[in-house]
Amino acid sequence: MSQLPTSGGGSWSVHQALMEASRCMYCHDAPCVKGCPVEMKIPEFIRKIVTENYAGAARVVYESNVFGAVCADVCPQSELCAKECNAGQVGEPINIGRLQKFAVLQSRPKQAEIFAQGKRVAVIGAGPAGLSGAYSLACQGYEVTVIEARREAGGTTLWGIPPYRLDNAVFAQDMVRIQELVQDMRFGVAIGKEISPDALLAEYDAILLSCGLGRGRELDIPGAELSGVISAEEMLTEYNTTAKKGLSAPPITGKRVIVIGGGNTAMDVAAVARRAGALVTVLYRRTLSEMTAWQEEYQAASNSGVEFRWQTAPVAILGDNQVQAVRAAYMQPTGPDGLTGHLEAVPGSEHDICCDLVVVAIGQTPNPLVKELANHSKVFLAGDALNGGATVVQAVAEGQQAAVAMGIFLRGDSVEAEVS
Amino acid sequence: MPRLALEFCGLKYANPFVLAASPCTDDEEMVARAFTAGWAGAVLKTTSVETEVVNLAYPMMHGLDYEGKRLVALQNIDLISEHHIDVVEGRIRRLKQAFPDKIVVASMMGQKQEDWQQLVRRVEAAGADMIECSFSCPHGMPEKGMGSTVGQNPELTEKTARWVKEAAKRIPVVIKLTPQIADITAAAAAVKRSGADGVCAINTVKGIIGVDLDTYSPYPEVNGKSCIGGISGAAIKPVALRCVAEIARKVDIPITATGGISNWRDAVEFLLLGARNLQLCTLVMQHGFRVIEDLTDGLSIYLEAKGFDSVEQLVGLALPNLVEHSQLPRRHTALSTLQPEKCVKCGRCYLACRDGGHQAISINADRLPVIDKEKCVGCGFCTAACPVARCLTMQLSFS
Repeated sequence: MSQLPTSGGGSWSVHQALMEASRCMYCHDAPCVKGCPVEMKIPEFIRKIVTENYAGAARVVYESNVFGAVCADVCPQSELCAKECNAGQVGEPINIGRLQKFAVLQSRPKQAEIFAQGKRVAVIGAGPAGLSGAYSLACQGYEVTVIEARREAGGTTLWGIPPYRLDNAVFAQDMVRIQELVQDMRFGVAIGKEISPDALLAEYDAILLSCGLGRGRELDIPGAELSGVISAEEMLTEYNTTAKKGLSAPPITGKRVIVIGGGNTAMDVAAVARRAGALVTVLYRRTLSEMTAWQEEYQAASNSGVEFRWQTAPVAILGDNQVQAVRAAYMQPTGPDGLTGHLEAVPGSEHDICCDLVVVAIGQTPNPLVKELANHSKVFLAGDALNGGATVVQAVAEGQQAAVAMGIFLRGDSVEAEVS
Repeated sequence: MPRLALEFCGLKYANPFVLAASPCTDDEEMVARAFTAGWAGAVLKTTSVETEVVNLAYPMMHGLDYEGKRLVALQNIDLISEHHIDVVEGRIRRLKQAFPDKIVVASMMGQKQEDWQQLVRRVEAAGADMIECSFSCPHGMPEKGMGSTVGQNPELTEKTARWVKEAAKRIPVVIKLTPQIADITAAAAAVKRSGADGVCAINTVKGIIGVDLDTYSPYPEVNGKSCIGGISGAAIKPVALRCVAEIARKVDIPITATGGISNWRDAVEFLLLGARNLQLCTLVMQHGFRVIEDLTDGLSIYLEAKGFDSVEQLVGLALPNLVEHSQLPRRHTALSTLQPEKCVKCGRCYLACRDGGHQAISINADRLPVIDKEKCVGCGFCTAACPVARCLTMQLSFS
């Protein structure tokens, strides 16, 4: 899971918010709503900022997204709501994220009235998908237990997003609202260790499996086992969570860090390492235009001084016990045009790049829990466990959709209960 | 370069732009700076005889905001100048000495005949170019039988104007009218009968600019209380245009127009409807004397583009096109027509027509509005509701 540097930063003044909100054209059948995974009624909340109905604006935001504050800061607007903003045709698209942040900072909406249903549900994983699902289930009147293997809530928002993009206080603001309705959260409880899958299935009427992805994929090359070769998740967890606790991660000033991969996570790792003072080189086996990372994300890393080597892949990692260098080769598509087809190393192009740390950011494996539990009729999936890794807001949307499907299932409605 | 000079009541103004009687003109140094900036004249803030008590209350001004746009209108509960005739006559003398080519107008307000006539004699002696009489202030002064109390009564208007005109031996007299009257042309006709030289239309529109939702006091809030005041600024332009046009087509008297003139385009509109002279205040209070540069520049470029030699040629050009409703052309059909390249696809015309009109607009797969020729009655509201100027226009056809 990766996030663009978007609205971020401090909140807007009333004047700034009004100036921006009054640019919104209050479109009919607005494209921003269609671009938003939770289909937030964006023109409606912006209109309420114009009329100074701030309580109403915050309510509209939270009605569709319990992570209203978090998503205001971390949503990749230019890829989602703002992508088709009609104001963009006559100037800049509306800065929806900053307006959303303004709205949620003005007022905390009342909670929905709850009518207990007398059924128990478990939510596995306290990330954005799990927590939004848990909140939605609690709103429907179900007794919710959240089970999280880590010691604290947040999932990828905690370890995957650097503190300069998402402040702890912003997460806490949304979390307080969730905890008002979802009190039973059990941390440090791993499925298969502290509680068995069978016990889980026996104890609860329905289960939301929002456990995220598994371990990072490993390189299948000689030397991959050396000390100093770590996964993106390890790197991000170390730097982001320590920073969010106000502690400092091990200094890597002046160290040479090589990042393998071309996705948003690779960009995150590169940016984090660069911020920690390292000299960072990203190796990507294809070209810039083929990178899966968002343009803005790549630009941020590039602007911070990260070096990129295109069409370059590691063939071995060198060192005795501790990593000393990456042996890389140039990659060439084997198609007749030389531009498409399967990649192969160009013979004789091997070269060694000295380094102190190698971070592998080539994706994560599926979470084994999914295979184990997903076939049970009472188990519903959401978040990265379902989509393979996407945005926070996508996870929130899936958590909510799963909660709706679970409600249908639990009430025994005739409608087919299916997620997505 | 087209000539911006325009004669009004026998006086030669370098351009039509004059500062209205207001806080902008209640100080000698300020008026001097305005003249230096390029204003053709100034109506000094309304003065009175020394015995007149001017009992101000503060704060005295409050703006009207509209969806992020500040100062669409302004309410003031200001009164006439605290500076009486003894101060103002000195100012007139010195300003005329320093700026002999600029037009210095003395605005005055009195109660009794002898007050009015004393004021006239003293400003004339001081060298004022013109007299403007406020028969129109909508707040404070009417409680004392002054201001709009006079302007709302044509007999009183004629009688008072006659006093002033009798006393003014050399210089022209202009009477400033209030829009708070059923028929403003009756007041203008009364001025004409009095022998006075011109009218100024309009003074502020009586109003309440807003109410505080927490204290329940209307604005401007004077320690928890307020009073009805005078509204000025862009929002009152339509009222002022209407008043000017009504007078222009019914009464043969020169008009100096004021009320919401906010740019050179507004200025042209007033000229086209018959004004020969233009007074500004709220715009200047908001942006400073410097606005004169674009007022004259915009007007000059417009005249040149339209092939006019002189601003004089604009005066009253639109009047023949202002007719009674029964006289409007009706042998055509009007149809809303889209300029697709301008459309931002917001769908607001669809909503406007669906809920404010005739359900004649639908949205196609590309989000572009499609106008149903059968259902479009040609009302034109969609052209106003569209956020883009001239994206939707009304096309006429003749069968």
